[in-house]
Amino acid sequence: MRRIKIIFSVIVILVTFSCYDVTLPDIDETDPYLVVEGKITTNSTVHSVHLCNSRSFDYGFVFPAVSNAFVQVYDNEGNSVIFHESDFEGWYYTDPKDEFRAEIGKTYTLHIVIEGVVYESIPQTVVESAEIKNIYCEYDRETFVTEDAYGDPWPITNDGINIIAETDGILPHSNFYLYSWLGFEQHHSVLDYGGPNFLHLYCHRRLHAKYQGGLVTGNADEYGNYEMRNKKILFIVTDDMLDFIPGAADSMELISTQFQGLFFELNQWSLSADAFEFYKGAEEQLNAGGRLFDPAISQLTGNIFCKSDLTMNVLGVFYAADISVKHAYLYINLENETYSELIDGFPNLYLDSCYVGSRPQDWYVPPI
Amino acid sequence: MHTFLQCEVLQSVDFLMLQRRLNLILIKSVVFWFLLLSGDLHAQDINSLRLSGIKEKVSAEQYISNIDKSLGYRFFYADGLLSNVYFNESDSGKLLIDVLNEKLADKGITYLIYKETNIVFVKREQLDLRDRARYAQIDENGGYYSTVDIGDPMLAGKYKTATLKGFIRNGKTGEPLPGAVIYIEDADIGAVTDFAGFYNVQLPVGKSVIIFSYVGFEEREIKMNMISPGEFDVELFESTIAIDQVVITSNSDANVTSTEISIIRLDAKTINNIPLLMGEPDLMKAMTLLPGIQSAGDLASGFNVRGGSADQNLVLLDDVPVYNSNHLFGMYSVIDTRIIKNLELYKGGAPARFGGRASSVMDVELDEGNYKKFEGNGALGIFSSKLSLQGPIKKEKSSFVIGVRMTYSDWILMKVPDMDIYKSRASFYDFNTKLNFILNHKNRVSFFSYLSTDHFNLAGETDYRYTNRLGSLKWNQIANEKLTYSLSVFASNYQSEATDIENVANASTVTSGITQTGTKFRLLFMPGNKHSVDGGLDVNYFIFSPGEKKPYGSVSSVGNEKLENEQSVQAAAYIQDVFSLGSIISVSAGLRYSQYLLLGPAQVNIYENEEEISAETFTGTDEFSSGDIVKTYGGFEPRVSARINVGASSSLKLGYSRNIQYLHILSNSTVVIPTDTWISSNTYIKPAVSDQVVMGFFRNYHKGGIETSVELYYKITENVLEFKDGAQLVMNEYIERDILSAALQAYGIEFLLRKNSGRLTGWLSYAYSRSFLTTSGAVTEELINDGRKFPSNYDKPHDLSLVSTFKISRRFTVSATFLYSTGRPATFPESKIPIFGNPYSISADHLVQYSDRNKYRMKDYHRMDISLIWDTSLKKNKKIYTSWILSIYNVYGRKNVYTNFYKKEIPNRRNDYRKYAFYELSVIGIPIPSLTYSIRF
Repeated sequence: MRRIKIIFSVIVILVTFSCYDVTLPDIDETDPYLVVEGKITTNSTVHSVHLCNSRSFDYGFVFPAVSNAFVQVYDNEGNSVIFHESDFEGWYYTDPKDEFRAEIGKTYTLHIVIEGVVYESIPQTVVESAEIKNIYCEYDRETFVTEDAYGDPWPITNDGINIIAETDGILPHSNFYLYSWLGFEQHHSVLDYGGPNFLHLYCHRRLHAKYQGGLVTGNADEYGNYEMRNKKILFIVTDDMLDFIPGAADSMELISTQFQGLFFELNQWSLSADAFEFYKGAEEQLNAGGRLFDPAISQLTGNIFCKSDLTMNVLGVFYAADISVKHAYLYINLENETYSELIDGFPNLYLDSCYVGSRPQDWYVPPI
Repeated sequence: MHTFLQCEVLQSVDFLMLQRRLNLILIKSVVFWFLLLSGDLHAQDINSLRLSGIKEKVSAEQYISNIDKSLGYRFFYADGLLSNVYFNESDSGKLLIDVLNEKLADKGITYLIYKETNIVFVKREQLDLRDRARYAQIDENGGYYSTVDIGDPMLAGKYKTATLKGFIRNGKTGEPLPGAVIYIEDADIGAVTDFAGFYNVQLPVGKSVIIFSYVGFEEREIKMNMISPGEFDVELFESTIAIDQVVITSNSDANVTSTEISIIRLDAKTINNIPLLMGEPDLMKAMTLLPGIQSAGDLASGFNVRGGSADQNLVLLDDVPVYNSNHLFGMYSVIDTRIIKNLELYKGGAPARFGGRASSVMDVELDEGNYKKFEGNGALGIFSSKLSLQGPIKKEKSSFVIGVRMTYSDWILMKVPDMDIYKSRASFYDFNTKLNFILNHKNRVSFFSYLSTDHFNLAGETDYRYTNRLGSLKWNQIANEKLTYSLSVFASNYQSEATDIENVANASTVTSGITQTGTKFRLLFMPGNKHSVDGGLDVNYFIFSPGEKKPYGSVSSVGNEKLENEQSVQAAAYIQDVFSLGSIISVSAGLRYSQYLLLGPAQVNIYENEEEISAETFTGTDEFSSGDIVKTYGGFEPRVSARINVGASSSLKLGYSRNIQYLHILSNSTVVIPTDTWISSNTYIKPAVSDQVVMGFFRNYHKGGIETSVELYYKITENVLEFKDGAQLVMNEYIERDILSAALQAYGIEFLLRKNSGRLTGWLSYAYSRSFLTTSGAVTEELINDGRKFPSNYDKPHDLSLVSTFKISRRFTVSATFLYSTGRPATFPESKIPIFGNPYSISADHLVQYSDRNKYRMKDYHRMDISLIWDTSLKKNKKIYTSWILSIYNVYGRKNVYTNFYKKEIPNRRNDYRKYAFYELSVIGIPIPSLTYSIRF
C-alpha cells in the first residue's frame, strides 16, 4: 500500500446539540368543542356525565361548564334514566337516586340536548369484564435524567416495583379495557426528638392515596381475532427518591422513613372499541415525548356526534362498563425478592396521622 | 509518462509469447529512443518525398539508409524487417508513400509517420492500431502530441468516414469511466461511453479536435487525423489532487447537450468539500442542497424529491437497491463518499432501465479499485473511523476494493443534556467489497458485496437494530463495436428489529424485513453517433416479512405472533432510443413495461364492500396456496425527453415520465425510521403511479464556466399511502383498515446558477414548489381533513441554497453554505379539553385537540455553515499531503424546529414549571465547530 490516507478529526467544542423550547403556537380562532365524558357501570360506582366547553390552546385551564343541559341515557329495551345537574358542579350530571345499574348485554346510548341541539353517543353494549386473577410485583430500578443547577445532565436512579396484574381474556369478555388503580404505602418512621438523650419512637402510618392513576389502556386487541393476547397489565411504582428501601419491613434501624409495603387496588373497566380508541389516543398524547421516531400527531376521535348538525364541534366519549376489582399487598425484601398476596380489601388507614409506639395489631407483616 | 514502457510486464513463460514480447519491446524501445533523440528536422513532409535515382533493384534498407541522413529524414525499423523489400527502377519518380503502400501490402509490415519526416516500420501483427495511436501521441518529453493519426496509412483515401472506438479510463487507477463524453467540436458529434467505459463514434476522415471529458476529471482535447477505422484509448485524470475547491463537473456543457432532464450529478470531491456536521461529508445531505431535493430537518433520515415521500426514492448501490440508506438517526448515509465513483440522481424522467419507485432514482456507482497499484485511505474521527484499501489483484487485469466503517458515538451522546439522547446508545458498521476482473478486451466480471448493521437504543426504552445486506455478480461484454451487454444477478436484504423494553410486562421484539433477488440483462446498441438504443429485461423476486413479534424478558406476557410473509415477482422489459432529428432536436424515447404478481401462500381478508373496509364489513378470509396468483398489477411506463438546441450554449428540454411503484413503506412518521415496514401492493393497496411533465431551459456562459437552468414541473401521484388518525401500523394483519389512498399533486419551478471555474465556485439554487395530498374513501369521517386537499409533510414552498467556495490563496480556501426554506407543515393543538378518565380524580389530565392535519407551519428553516481549509502541502509530487479543515455547522446557532409536541411532564425549570406545555424540539440548536486534520500519503 503506497498511499494511505489517515484523517483524524478533533472536535474542539462539544456542547449541547438539541434543545426543547416551550412555545405558544400561533393558532387561529376556532369554535369551542362541546366536551363530553360519560360513564355508566354495572356496580355502585357513581354514574356521571361531564359537560363543558373546550378552551383555545393559548387560554388557561378553566373550562366553561355547560349548564341546563338535558342528559339522558336510554337502553335498547326502551328504558331510560335522566341525569341531573349537580348542585355543586355545573358540569357534572348524575343519577340523583343512585339506583341505576348498567346490565351486561344491554346497549345504552347517551342523549344530550343543549339549547335545542341534540348530541348522541354511539350505542355502547356492556361486555363482561374478565376476572383479575393475580397481582404481583417485581423489583425494578428506574433511571432517569434531570438537570443540575448548571443545566447539565443529572442521572437519578430510583428503586421501585413493577406491579403486574394477570387477567383472564377468554370470550365473551371484553378485549378493551381501561385501568385505574389506587395504592397506599405502609410505613414506619423514627421520630427523633433530639437533645442529649435521643428518644426514638416509631411512627406507623399508612399514607393516604400515595399512588393513584388511570388512563392506562391495555389488554386489548382490536386487530386480532377477538382473542386476548396480552394477559398482563403493568404499573410501575417508584418512590420518587424517598421511600423504597428494600427490606425495611424487617428492619427497625434509624432510618427516617421506611417503606414496608404497598396496598394496591386495581380497577378494570371493560370498554367498547370506540371508547377504547379515545382513551388510547389520550394516553398516547400524554405520553408523547417528542422523540425522533414518534408517530405523527393525530386528532382525537370520540364516540359522540351532533345529531342535529354533523359539522358542530363535539369531542368526547361515553362508555358502559363492567368493572373487575382486586386488591393485593405487595412487598420487597433486602435481597430484592418480591412478595405479593391477594387481599379482600384495604385495611384501616391511618391516613396522615401517626400511630406512635409499638406496631399496630393490624399492621401487615409479610412472611419473608 | 512513457506509459508503454512502465506498463510492460512479462506475463508468460511461453517461448513464442516471450519472443513476441521481446520483439515488441525492441520495437517500442526503438520508438522510445527515437522519441527521445529526434529533434526538430528541417526536411520536407515525407508524404511528398519521391523516389529518385534508382537504376537497378535495390533493397529498401539500402535506399533509405542513403536518404536518411542526407535529407534529414529518419527511418526506424528492426533489423531484417525490410530485408525482403526492394525498390525498382520503375519506382523512380513515385511518391515514397505510394511505393511503400504497394511494396509492404503483402509483407505484413506497416509504418507510422511521425512529425512529418520520420517513419517507423513495424510488423502489423506486433503493433495493433491501439498501440499505434498510443505511440503516436507520446512526445520526447513524455507528454502528448497534439495530433494523433488513427488508422492504417495504407488505407488512406479509402474512407470518407471512419469509426473510432476505445475505452476511457481513469488514468490513475485504470478503472473504466462509464458515461464519459466524447465530443467533436467541429462536426458537432458526440458520444458517451457505455457501462464498460467503451465508446464508439463515427468521424469524418481528416483532422478534427476531439474532447474527452468526465465528471470530476480534467478534460482532454486531442487533435486527431482520422485515416481509417481505428481504436484509441484515453486516460483521464482527476481534476485536482489535493482538497482545494469544489468541482461540480468538468463536462461543463453536458447539462445543455444531453437529452436528460431533471438530473443531478455529483462527484465525491464536491460532496467532500461541503461543510457539514462534524466535518463528515454526507451524500444525502449534500443532495439536499440542490433544487427539488429536501429533507425533513436536521438529522432527518431519507430525502424527499419534489414532494414525494422517502420511500419513493430508489437508491441503487452498484445497481443493487438499498432499503435503508441511513445510519444513526440519519446522521450518516450508508454510503461512504470516499468510495463513490459516480452519482446520478434523477428527479424525474429517469431512463427506462430504472423502475419501481415513484419519485426519483439515485444511482451510485462505487469505485472499481486501482488496477495499477495499491492504495488506501483511512479516517479516524471522533464519531467513526474508516479504512479502505484498493489495488490490483493481477496488475491491469483485476482489482479489489474493500472498505470498512464503524462508529463509537456513545460518549458523545452522554454529553447531550437531553434525557432521551443521554440514555441512548448508538453504533454502526459497514463493510463493502468489490472485485473486478478484466477477462479480456471484451469481457469483464465484477463482484460486489455490502453489509451494514446499525444498533441504537433510544432513551433506554427502545432498542433498534437494522441490517442491510447486498451482493451482486455482473458480467459485461462488448460483443462488437456497436453492441455491449451486461448480465447481473443480485440480492438485497433488509432486516429491522425493534425491542420495546419500556414496559417489561409488554416488552417485545418486533422484526420485519424485505428480501429482493433479481437478475438484469441489458443491451446497449450504438449504431451511430447520434443514435443509441438501450434495452433490457429485469426480473425480481421479493419476500416481504411484515412482522414477527416475540416476548422480551421473562416477565413479558406478549405472545408469539407472526404476520404471514408475502412474496411477489416483478418483471420488466424496457427499451430506450436516443436519436437526433436533424441538428436541432435530440430525443430520448423510452418505454418500460412492468408486471407485478403477488403470489401465494396468502390469506386475504374479505369485506362485504371493498369501498368500505372496516371490522363491521369483515366477512372472512380467502386462502391462496403456494404459487397461486393473488393479485396482478402492471402497466406501461413511458419516458420521453427531448432537447432542442437554442443557440450554441443553450437548449430547451421537455420531458414526460410515468413511474409505477409496487412496494410501500408503512410509516406514519415524517422521516424514515427503523420500525418502518415494507409491504407489497395487494388486493387493497394499489401501486403508486406517478406522472410527471418537466420543461427546462439550460444555458451556459463562458464556455460552461457558468451554468444556468430553470425547470418547471408538474407531478401527480395516485395511490399514495396515508394513514387514518391513530392508525396501528406495526403487526397489524388488518392494515387495510387503517390506511387511506391519497393523490399527490406537486408542482414547482427550480432555478440553478452554478459557477464551475475561477477562484470562486459554487452554486445558488432556489425552488418554489408545492405538494398537496387528497385522501379518498367511502367513509368521509375517516378521511383526512374530511377529504379536503392539504399540504403534504414535505410542502416547503421556498427553498434556497447557496454553496460557495473561494480560494483565497494557494493554501487557503474558505467555503460557506447557506440554506433557507419555508417551515414544513405541522399540526398544532388548537383546543384544550379536560379528561376525567381517572375515577379518583375529578380532572386528572388535560388533553388537546389538534387542528386539521398540516394546517399550520413550523418556523422557517435557515442555517449557515462555513469551513476553512488550510492546505499545508502544495507540491504535486509530495509523498505526504496534509491539510486542516475548520468547519462550523449552524454558525449563528439557529434553533430550527425538528418537531412540535404537546407533553405532560413534571414541572421543572426547563418547562417553566408547567405540567403541560407545547414544545419545539431543535435537534441541533447551537453552532457545532469541528477541526479536522488530514494526512494522506
